[in-house]
Amino acid sequence: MTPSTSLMTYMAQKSNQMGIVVEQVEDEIAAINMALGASYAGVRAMTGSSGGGFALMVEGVSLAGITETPIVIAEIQRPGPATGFPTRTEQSDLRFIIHAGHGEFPKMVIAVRNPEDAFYQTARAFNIAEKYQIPVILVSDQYLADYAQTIKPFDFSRISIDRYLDDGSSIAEDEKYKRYKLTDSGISPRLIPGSVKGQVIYVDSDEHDEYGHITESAEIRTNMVNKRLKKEDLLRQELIEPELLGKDNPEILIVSWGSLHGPLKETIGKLVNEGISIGALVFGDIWPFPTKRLTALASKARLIVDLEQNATAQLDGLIRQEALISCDKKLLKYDGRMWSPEEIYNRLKGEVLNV
Amino acid sequence: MFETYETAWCPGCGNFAILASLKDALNQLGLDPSEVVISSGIGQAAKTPHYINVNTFNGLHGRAVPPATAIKLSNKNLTVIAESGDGDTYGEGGNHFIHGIRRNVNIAHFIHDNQIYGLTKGQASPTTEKGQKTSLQFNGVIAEPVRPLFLALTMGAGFVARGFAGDRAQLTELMKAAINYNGYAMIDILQPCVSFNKVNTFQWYKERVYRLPDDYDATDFSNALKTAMEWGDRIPTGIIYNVPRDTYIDQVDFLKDGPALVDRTLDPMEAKQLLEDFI
Repeated sequence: MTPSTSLMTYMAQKSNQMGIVVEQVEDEIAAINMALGASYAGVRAMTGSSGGGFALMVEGVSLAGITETPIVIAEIQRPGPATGFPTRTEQSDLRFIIHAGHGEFPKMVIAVRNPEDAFYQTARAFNIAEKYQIPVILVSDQYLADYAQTIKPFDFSRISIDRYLDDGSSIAEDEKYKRYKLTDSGISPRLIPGSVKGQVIYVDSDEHDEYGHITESAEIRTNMVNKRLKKEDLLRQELIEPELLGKDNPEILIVSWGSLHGPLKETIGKLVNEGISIGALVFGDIWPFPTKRLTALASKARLIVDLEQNATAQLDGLIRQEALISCDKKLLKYDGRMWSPEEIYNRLKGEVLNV
Repeated sequence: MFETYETAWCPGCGNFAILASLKDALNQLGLDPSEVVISSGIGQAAKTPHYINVNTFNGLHGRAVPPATAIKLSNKNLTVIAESGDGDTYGEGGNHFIHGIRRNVNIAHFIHDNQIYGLTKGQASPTTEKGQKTSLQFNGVIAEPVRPLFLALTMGAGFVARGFAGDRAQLTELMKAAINYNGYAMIDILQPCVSFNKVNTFQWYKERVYRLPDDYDATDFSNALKTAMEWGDRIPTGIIYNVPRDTYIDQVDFLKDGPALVDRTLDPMEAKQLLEDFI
């Protein structure tokens, strides 16, 4: 679905050269269920769409949650609701993505900020998905998906492929493999089918026991919910705090996320040159929500301004919920056109700095 | 080797016979449980893999085929079976059924067809006959039923069969043939739902089903279409259509000739060559 199409097209172009299977399937429901099947079978799997397609995938996100199957999903936002502005840009799916999937289970959401960030964070997303056996959702938007920029070559030596797969060596001869073994960390050793002769791997969308078999037990249910949620505690330790642009301890603190990084970098630079004590905190990792850097800077700032490309100030709500901090002002734009540095500059001057 | 488990099925359920035939088929093919994967959706039929010792992906309602497709593409060395009911396959999963046939990935698809939603206590499924009164359609079903075999044939399936839970010997042979077929192979398996379908009982099927004769030509497409539509007083069972077709894997060189995707070694530095396009 536009504007995520360029991802598929690029990979299809490279499929023969790199040996990638790219299949355009009947719908997004098939896409995520196939990706989960592939991941279960032991390969790395990714799918993606825009908001409408991701909406169809949401039951599959929940399936990834209960079956603890690693998956990476790219959600390339466009203005909604429904078909909205199919070829324009917005950041209005943040809350939807964070809450996607019925039931309670850990997931990670990373908003990518620019082409380099997208490259390194995608590689990181795969490693985190496999380490914690969770869905990791990469959030971008039409603006970031379609713009061109000159950048330094990516450093491939920084990329590692960390699979965290089990080889079955700890399973005794007469013992049966437990896909959902209860462990202190909540992470169970993950075998892939066919890798150990005689051992089978059960995964189930129903609540299940340690072997993966369907259960109605109240005790097992409670243990399994706790097991899955425990992984979120560990996940929080992986979080990368948001990037601060501009002054170190600014009097005026802008909070923003994702693709606004570029326009904000230009605008903040200009304002700092004018001698204004201003900085912008741009979130990449956004769920679980990192609060440390925000809390430290917010305590020193005179004014906190939320700046986003949506109508309901979704990041502002998240900050109140997770950090108990209220933004003093909100600068919002939701006409489908990307914020330009000039527009940010003018609105900051008009609504924040010169009032 | 494929073991015995306590089931949650009603006494007399057709699923017992289907499960027994499945175990016989896998045993007779000499497969190790670790080499077999069953993908299933939701429903009484979809519980089948919990009662047999094989790798299992028991996913969402209607979604047995997409994971099965991807499991086979990811590891072509596994024997992959999709196992689900008529509601799961032809209702919620109808889209995946159609496009799964088009894709022709080498999986066997065993559809337990009791012409009713059994798990949820007797609502009409896509194969419930028009006019039949159910626990939800009090005045009878208004819509026409799906004709699964005919649909599969018109979508280009290379292996189309019908089995009956009351003919275990034939069903086991059909399952073996479907597993050995190189491509998507479907068996619509008639089975009574003793609790919620009081029309299509064991007796009802028993009086109507007949085995296709030994001299039946399963390579004749127009005859297969006619046979697939035969329903009512006489219902044929056996392999209705069986012709070779290129599978998805056959048509992608690196899948066909290379190692299974799961066995490939990955090196991030290999991807560096892609940067050259941008320089």
